[in-house]
Amino acid sequence: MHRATALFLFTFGVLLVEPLLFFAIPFLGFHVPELGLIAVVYAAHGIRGSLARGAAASLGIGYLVDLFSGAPVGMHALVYVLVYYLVRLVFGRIYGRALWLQALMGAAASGASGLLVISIGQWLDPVEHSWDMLRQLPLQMLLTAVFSPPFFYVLWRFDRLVSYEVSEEGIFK
Amino acid sequence: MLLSRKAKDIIFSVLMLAIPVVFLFANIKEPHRLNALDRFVLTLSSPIHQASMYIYRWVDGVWRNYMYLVNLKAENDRLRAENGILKANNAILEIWAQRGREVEKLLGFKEASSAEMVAARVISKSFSPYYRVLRLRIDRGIREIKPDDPVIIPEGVVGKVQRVYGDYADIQLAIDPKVRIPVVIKRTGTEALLVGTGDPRRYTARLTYLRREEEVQVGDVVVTSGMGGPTGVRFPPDLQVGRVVEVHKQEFGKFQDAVVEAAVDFSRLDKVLVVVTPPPASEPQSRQGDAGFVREQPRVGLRPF
Repeated sequence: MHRATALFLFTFGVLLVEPLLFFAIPFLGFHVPELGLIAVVYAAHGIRGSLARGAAASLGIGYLVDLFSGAPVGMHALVYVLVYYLVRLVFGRIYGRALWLQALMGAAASGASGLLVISIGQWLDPVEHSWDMLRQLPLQMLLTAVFSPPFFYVLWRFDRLVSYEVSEEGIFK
Repeated sequence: MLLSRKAKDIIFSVLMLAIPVVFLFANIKEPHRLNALDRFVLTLSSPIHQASMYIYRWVDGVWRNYMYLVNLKAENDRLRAENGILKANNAILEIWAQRGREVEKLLGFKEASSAEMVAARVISKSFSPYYRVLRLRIDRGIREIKPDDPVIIPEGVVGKVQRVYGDYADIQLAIDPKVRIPVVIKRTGTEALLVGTGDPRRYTARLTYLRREEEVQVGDVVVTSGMGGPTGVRFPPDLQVGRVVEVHKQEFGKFQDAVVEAAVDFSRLDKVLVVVTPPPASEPQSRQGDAGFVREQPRVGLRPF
């Protein structure tokens, strides 16, 4: 199985249990780390490889996020594809496995994703999607940044199970 | 290949961006404004949507059931622990209630009798190799009781005080071979002397000096006569001693033998009464047997004082 396909299926499983897992953590409240988005960052920076396959995996993950979150179908799919390209563009030349780098990528992706989602929402329905939602963004970025390194590690462990290439390239090389 | 890898990437990237845009527009439009492409996209995405939501609901259901079971187990454990505590409390209350009933009974018996008695608690028991009680120790000492004082409970005769030292006293049971108690067979008024058999397996005593012509049956109730025995112990009259379980009628001689099983279960004793002053001697004189038999002068035992 290709790594991007495996990543998509694994993320599908993670997204299924994500709300159930974080439901048990009361202090998080409304905010949950965007594990789907972290998977997209991993696809862009950890797997690298074919641009098309990574983008397709991001599209699929975004589509699932739309389905499970109740957002208009296509919104997160579009945003995640854009984030995928952004991460490839901005962090594509940076090689390293430092935790701060993973956290930084997670926070940046979260910020970009939030900004895009709010912008598209504002454009689609200005009444329902307010710019006030931007105030939630820093906390969301922080949460995603905190959860990025451990989830990167989980994804890397899974990635290593399905592909021998993982030790040869990518963020953990 | 006609197209380079870079060109393919660009075309694919545009496609990857176009697909979600098409999906997004198809999904946000009002139903009456959908065009053919929108309807096609919705038709295409509907099974994926349904399958994904089915899996999601299934996982959610499994998780919720699991959480429910975990909570149920925790609740079950809590209730089990609570039940155990309540059972233990209940057992303690039962013991206290039983003790209360016993004390009440003892007190009632003590009040009703004209003899002066001291209540005592059994603090230890000596057992035979067959787990039969051989001797008791009570928590009354030299200031309240003295050797040879009769020891009784409302159900019957226990024995007599053997030794007193300090705040404790040893009780010799009525089934001990060294204890002799003047008794009467309640049904007939026949008098005899009860001597313990010392059988380590059973709580039994023997009726001696029972005249051969007297009619004794298995099941006859044996009670104290109220007379002083050869050892000087004088029990209050009409206290049950036991029941006849064996009768050995001799073909010759003056007396017959009978074995009596003790009325008191010595292994369950925890409170006793020590008779420190026997009742007045006139009491037994007016007593009658079950068959209306009027007792004659005692043939066995000593007249009280």
